[in-house]
Amino acid sequence: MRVDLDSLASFSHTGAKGGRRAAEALETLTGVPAHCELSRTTLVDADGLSSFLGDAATRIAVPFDGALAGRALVSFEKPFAARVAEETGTGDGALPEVANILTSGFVDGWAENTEGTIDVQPPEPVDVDDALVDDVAAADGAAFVFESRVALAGVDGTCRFAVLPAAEEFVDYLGDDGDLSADALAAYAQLTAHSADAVADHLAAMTGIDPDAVESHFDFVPVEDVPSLLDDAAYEGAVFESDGPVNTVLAVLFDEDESGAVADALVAREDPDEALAESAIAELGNVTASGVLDGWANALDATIDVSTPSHVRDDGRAVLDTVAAAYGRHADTVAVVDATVALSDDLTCRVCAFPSPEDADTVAEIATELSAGDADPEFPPEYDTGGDGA
Amino acid sequence: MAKQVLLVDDSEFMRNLLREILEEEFEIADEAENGVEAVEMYKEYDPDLVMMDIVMPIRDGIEATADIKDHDPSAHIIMCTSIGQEEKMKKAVKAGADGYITKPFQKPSVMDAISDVLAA
Repeated sequence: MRVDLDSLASFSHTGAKGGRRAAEALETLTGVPAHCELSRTTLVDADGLSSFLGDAATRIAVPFDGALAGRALVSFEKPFAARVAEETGTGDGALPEVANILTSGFVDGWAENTEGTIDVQPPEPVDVDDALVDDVAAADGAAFVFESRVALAGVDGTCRFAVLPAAEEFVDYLGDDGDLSADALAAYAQLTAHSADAVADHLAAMTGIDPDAVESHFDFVPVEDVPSLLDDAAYEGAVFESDGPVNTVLAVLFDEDESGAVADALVAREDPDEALAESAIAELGNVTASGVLDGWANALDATIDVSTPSHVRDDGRAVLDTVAAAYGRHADTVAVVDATVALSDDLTCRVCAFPSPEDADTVAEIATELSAGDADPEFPPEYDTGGDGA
Repeated sequence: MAKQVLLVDDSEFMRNLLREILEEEFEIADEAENGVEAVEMYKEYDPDLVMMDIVMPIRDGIEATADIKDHDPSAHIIMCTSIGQEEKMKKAVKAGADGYITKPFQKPSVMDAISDVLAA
């Protein structure tokens, strides 16, 4: 069940190209400079797909069929939709057409790749209650999504453009490529879900707060887009590096506004000094990061060494800039294990693990082992204190 | 007379947490932030028990455990670590660890581990 990540990277390139085309189309339509701030190819647990796609003021679906079938889901945040309506002079009625144009720009790239044609159907408004997982590439419980986020210069909010290929056709498409299969892709989703569960369990044990929600997905992201995985909000947390069969950069981050809540949950005394609060957050990150990497190490029957935590407090993009800089020399696409755990309405933890592109085969091995359930879930075992310690 | 415990962890937060758990029943000899300090303090205080983190700067807990056991084979050392990797634990045992507790931990698990190690 090994997966060639280079093959998945080629899907990611197609997605990135589609995102750029969508931005160019939008700029032409509105006259406002537009850019694609994030493109990613994502494997997400089918049960979590609705959460992954999120809510938006306006959502429009654009079905397509032909060489590849499925639908694009175009979500407009309010300020973005208002600016488009203003620039096009046609009010909200412009949005379906914008969705149509964006989708056409994207699927053109697919059509070129498949050497066939893809026909775009009339756009359809989507109610939030629609069953979003219908007709998507949900194979073995994993859904496959190409996502781009397009921003307009000087406008708050984005247009989030998600392409969800239909399951049957997409699996057929994968079947033409010996390196990819539906169950292999599902294994990556399971690796991510396993890691997210470890995050949730360790956070709950440390803070005493049961998680409200756990989301996870496995992304393939052009290295230049890595900083855009996080927003401009201030984050506080800790960054680690692992060394062993998988070299990984792993960030455990809390919103800066919420960091006081994290420290409060951990430190019994009132108004802990800054150093103690930082230490508490770093240690929470340490326990959480270890929880993720332990699962990987045990799946391999190997050891993964974790560095001491580097405390960070910065805006999200700045935190991830260093990751992009480190990996940019080795690859143009990086894989990301991305987990979000909501401990309450006001307290969310984001964990992003970036395995080195050079360790792609080992990541595939971990995914295979975890999806097969071979890792020992009962670890750590009872310690035999009767030994001589030698 | 209360038994003496040396706390070794690079995290001030974790040292505080362990201190709060232990100080009712034990005397805290001192706190070390890395493996080098741990070995020096062990030689200085000769404590009854060492609570040792694994991942620390300068010198890690496994190396420090080996150093302390070389100095005093009867030393009692419990690894207190966030790492739940089986292979890592084997290394700690090989270095001379007498027990371990995995972070995050609660007071009962800490006290149980200490009872087991001191009774052995």
